[in-house]
This record gives sequence, C-alpha cells and structure tokens, in this order.
Amino acid sequence: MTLHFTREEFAARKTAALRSMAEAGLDGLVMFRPDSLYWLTGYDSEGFVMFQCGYLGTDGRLVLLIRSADRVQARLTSVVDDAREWVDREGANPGEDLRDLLDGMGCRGKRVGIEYHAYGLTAQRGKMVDAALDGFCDLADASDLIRLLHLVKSPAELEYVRKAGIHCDAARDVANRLCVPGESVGAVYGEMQKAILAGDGDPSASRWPMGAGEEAMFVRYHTGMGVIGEQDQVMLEFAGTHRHYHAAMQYVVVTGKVDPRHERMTAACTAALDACEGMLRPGNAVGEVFDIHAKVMTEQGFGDAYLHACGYTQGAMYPPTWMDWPMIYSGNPQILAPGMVFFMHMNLLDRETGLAMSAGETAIVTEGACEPVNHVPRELAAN
Amino acid sequence: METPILHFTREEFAARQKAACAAMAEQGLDGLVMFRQESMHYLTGYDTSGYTMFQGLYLRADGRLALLTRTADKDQSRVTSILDDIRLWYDRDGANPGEDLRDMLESLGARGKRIGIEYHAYGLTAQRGKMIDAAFDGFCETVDASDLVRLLRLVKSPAELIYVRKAGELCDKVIEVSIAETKPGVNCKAVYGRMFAAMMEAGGDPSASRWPIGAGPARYFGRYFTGDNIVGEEDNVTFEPAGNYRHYHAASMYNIVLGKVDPRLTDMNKACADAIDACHEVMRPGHTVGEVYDAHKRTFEKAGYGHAALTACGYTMGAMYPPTWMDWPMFWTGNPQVIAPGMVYFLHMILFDRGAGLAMCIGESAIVTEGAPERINHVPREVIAK
Repeated sequence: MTLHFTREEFAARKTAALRSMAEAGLDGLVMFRPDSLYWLTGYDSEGFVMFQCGYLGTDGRLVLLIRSADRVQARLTSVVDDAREWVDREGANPGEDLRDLLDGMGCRGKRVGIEYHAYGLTAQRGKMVDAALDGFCDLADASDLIRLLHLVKSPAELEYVRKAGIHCDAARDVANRLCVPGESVGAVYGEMQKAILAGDGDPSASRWPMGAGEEAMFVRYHTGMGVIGEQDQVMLEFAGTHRHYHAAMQYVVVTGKVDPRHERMTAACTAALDACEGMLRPGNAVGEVFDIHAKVMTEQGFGDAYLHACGYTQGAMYPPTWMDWPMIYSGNPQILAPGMVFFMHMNLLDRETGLAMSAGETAIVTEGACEPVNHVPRELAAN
Repeated sequence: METPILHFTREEFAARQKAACAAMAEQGLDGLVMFRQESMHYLTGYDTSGYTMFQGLYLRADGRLALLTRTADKDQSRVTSILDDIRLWYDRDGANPGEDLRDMLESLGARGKRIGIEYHAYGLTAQRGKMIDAAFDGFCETVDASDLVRLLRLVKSPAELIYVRKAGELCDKVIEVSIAETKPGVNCKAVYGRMFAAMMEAGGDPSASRWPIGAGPARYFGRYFTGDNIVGEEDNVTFEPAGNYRHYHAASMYNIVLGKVDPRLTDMNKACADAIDACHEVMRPGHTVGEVYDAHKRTFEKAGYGHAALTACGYTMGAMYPPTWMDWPMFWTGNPQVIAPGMVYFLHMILFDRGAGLAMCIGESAIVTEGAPERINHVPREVIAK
C-alpha cells in the first residue's frame, strides 16, 4: 500500500548493505534503528519504542522481529515478507526470541553486527540481548554501517528532501505572518505544523525549539511557551518533513523597534551561512565547514559567541530526534560527497545582552555549488 | 534569566526528592544516576530534549543533585529547573562523556559506593550504556534502578492532576475537531494538522508520540506512518490522539465511520463500550492492573469477541517525552501492580477483524480515585458516524 521507493531501489540498497557487511566481516546484521529499517525495507513504524529489530543475512534474507501490534503495518509498509512476533507477558524476554531467530538463520558461532546505538535499544535492552546471545555468536557494534550508507541520498530520496524544503518554506511564511505582538508562540507552532500537514508532510522527528523573550535562548523544545511581546525576539527552529525526510531551518523574528545589535548579528549569521554553503562541496571535510563558520563569526566580531557545533546531516529520521551524525564541528574528518544533505545553523546567543540571532538552512551537496532546499531570510525578519 | 520557569512549587520538588531518597535508602543505594528525561523533569523540573545526546542527573543519598549536560542545554537546564549544580561536557571527536560522568560522581564521593543506574532510558542507548559501564568499572558498584523514580511518578500529586485534567480537556477538543473535519476525500494528515493546531492554540504541547490516524487498510495500523491516506466515501478511520499539557498526556482512541454503518460495527462498538465500563468497575484501589485486563477480556468473550482481544489493553499516563507517551505498567494478564488513587491510566478496547474488514475501538484516560475512576476525556459510547 505504502512503499515510497521502488522495489529496485530497495534491492540496490540491500546490495550496498551486503557489501558493507562483507567489508566488515559480518555474517549477519541486527538493526534496531527505525531509520535503518525504513531505508532498507520501507518498514515505517514507531514500534521501536518497544523491543523491535530487523535482521539481514549475507544471503540477503530479511526478517523482522516485532510485536503483534505492528503486524499489519509491517506487511503493508515494507518489502519484508518474513515478520515474526514476540508476545508481551510478565517476564517476557524478546532477546531470546531474537536468539532463536538468529539460530534459525544459521548464525550460531558466526559474527553478527548489532546496532547498539539506537534509542529503542536502551542499555537495559542491550544487556538483555547480550545475555541472550552470550556464547551463541560473536557480536560487533555495527551502529554506523547503515548510517554511512544513507548519508548519501539517491535521486528518489532527494525528491523527498526537496519536498521537505518546500514544506519548510511554507511554515516559514506562516511564522513570518503570525509572529506578531500578542500572539502565543504555541499557537504559531500549531499553524506552522498545520500548513506542513496540509501539504501531506509529517510531524517532524523532533519537537521544535521555539521561544520568545528570554526563551529565545533555548535551543530545545520546552513546555509553557509564552506570548510574543511588543518589543520581542522569537527564536524559531523547525523542519519541513516529507516521507520522514527533514529539511530544518532556524531564524529569529523580532517585533517592535529594531535593535541595531540584532541587525549586526543577522549580518554575521547570514555571512557565516553563506560561507558555509560555499564550503559545502565535494572533497571538503565536515570540519572545514565548521572552521569557516568560526572564521566569519570572528571576523564579524562575534568570536566569543559562536557555538561548538553548527549543524549536522539531514535524512529520514524518527523521534526522538531529527539530528544525525556527522555533526559539523572542528576537525570532523567526514569527507563531503554529492547527495549528502546538511542542516547548517549559525547561532549567536549573547547571554550578556539577552539577544539571540540565528540563520540556518538545509542544502544538498552537488558536484558544484550546494543546492539549498529551503530558504531562510537573509535580512532581519521584523514585524 | 535568573528566575526559573517552574511548573510546580519548590516545596513539591523537595517532597519528590525526599521520596526518591527514601526509596534509595530502602534499596540500599548511595546514589542514583538518571538518564530518563521523565525522571529529571519530575525531580527538578528540567525540561529539554537534550537527552537525545548524552546527559545524566545524579541524586546523592543526602539529596544533593548535580546535572551533567552539553553546552547547548546550559541555559535551558538552569531556567527550567531548580538545579544549581550544572556541569558540562564538550563535543569533540572521540569524546567520552562517560568519563565526565564518573569524574562528577567522584567529586561527589561516589567512589566505592553502590549506585543505581537508569539503564532503561531511550537516551541511554546500549552503546552509551557500554560506555558508562566501562567508565564505572572498578569505580563503583552499579545496579539497575530504572524503576525507582518511575514507581514514584505513578501516583500523581494534586498539582499534577490539574495538568492531567487540562490534557483531558485538550483531548476532548481534538476529538471534536477530528469529527468535524473527517470527510470523504480529505487526507488524514490534513485532519491531523487541524487537530494539532487546535491543541496548540489552547496552550497544549505536541505529544510525545505522533498520532496514529489511519483510513482504509491503515485503520489497523497501531502507529504513526507517513504517506497520503485519503478518507473514502465508505470508510472507517481509526484515531489515537492525546491531549498534552505541560508534558502530561491524556490519550484516546476511537473510530469515525463514513457512509453506511455496518450493523456488525454497532455490535463491536457496544462490546468496546461494555468492556471499558467493565474495566472502570475494576480500576479501583486494591485491585491489580492484571485484573483490569481480565475484565476487558471477559467482556469481549461474553460478547463473542474473545478471539479478537489483544494481549494488552492500556498503560499508565503521565509526563512523558518523545519517542513515546507509553509508560509502564501495561495492562496485561497477571500484571501484579496494585492500583492506587492518583494513578492515571489509558485504557484502549480494540477489536480488529481484518477478515471482515472491520475495526472498532474505544479508548479513554481516567484518574483512579477512592471510588469510580474520574474520566478526563470522553469518547462517545455510540458509533461515530458521518
């Protein structure tokens, strides 16, 4: 019913995964990240909050281990036809169900990669898996195997990324219209999200950090968002999402008389963003993008105010976050390649003055100049 | 930014910390390391999504609190919480915040002590768990204490129940919008957006789970999914939205039927209504969660739907963070958790008959009282037909 990519594309992804497994010397791969399962099979569920995983064998066999609640969803959203179920009960140990599954796949005594870095595989569940597989097979942390493959997006994925960018720009227009004195920040959030969903988008994997006044300094979602004042600043960090692909944006809308310091901060943020986009080219390292951001901020007189990281890759992500590795910080050696997508956010949070400013947008790495998929205002947004 | 934005009184936070210290003493713990945002929020007010990166809160047996977080949360941790001891770790290639955490515990005298760890936390992935186990190896004795604060949170205070009731009101509003907006030809995502905007306008929060809403074959999905999903002329749409206020949730579940109502759906609806009423009869102090499940199962059996009952029919509601509003205990048979006043439960009666193409659900949240449960949101007991 709901495959969002062709079966040929899923087959090509599987071939790439098998190649990586061979390079890593793995006889099997157990995936706990929902983004890995979505990428490899299409399986689209939030069932990962309970114990859930997928298995890929070197023979290309795919199996899901899920709860009965996900039976229909697994069949209708994925290319997997072998979905097995573990049953809730007091004292249930789905780690043993996983071992039985692996045993059936001939993994006894073999070397199996595990995605240990998955929000659904809490440390407690990780211990359960390790205990169940102790003495059964060799385990290796393979958290990055699929992640590195979906770092470079296919043309079909990039279509969704661009669509996410369009949703994001639509939400930006709503924010520009509604961020006026007397409006509640939460109500603005609701209308922005409504616009994205009306266009067939999704609620994003993170909740949006939005805040007025002092709360403009927050960079995370928080409850109790206030009302926009006559003379105020509203920090907006949000994303358009389409088929789980994200395009994030960040900026500030001010109200009342424009503070010239806000103007200067805007000029610095946009100059830094432009410089980062200039650096976002094949062959450059992610760390170099951070360094140019730091250089421009310093030149603009904000050397003491920039943050230690200024972005990260964007892709098809599930709650609790749309953030994914690599992050853009100094020295990160990841080499940029065409088809990668990065969110770059230039932030100035001045705790002395209480002023906040930001410019962030998302762009696709191409052979030449990067392709921004959403468009943050380059001038101070003032209402 | 020196005045914290707190949603509970300092006295209430102090009482919660005291209860946590008492529970630690009972379990012979000298300290507790928390990784669940729900626990941090409960004990200190700290409100962030920063748990997606590594962060941990330490509570010492004498009540001393210290937070280890990233620079990004420096302001937010101070302004949203009663914490004053906030320490930072720094992103860099090869960073090991497990060692920063150990150093923080060392400075608070935890060497050689017995320390409880919340190993069951979405923010503490298995990979991060191995990192802290390695950092703590030989430093202190660690025991899994994932349930310590969770069990304290299970019974809500009067101040918390005010937020729970507000979440219920928001949920009722959202249900109303869904009934008005669900029409043939509309995309379920667009309905979701209108429901969402109504809740946000009324002062709510985006819920910790995304809402499962499905028309056509997706009516049997129990989870959020992407993709256009257009409501048909003759259709049956399953909804599972929650109101959320100050992170406290009130979930609901129901179907909206379009076109001619199949009499079998009316019969299933009655079974669901009878089952939730039966559950409410049993959801009284002194009974167990397992007994509530059994009442649901018995009612379905009596109505001829024993084969269709699921193995779980609900769970507790509280202040939860993404990726889910679900929390333990879950309602399944044999669950020994004893019910007490101030607990809040979401009960979902679900009948999926895929062979016949029929789905019917009734789910509501209610507060346990000394007597009959207090319903905080309200799903019609008749088929919702359009």
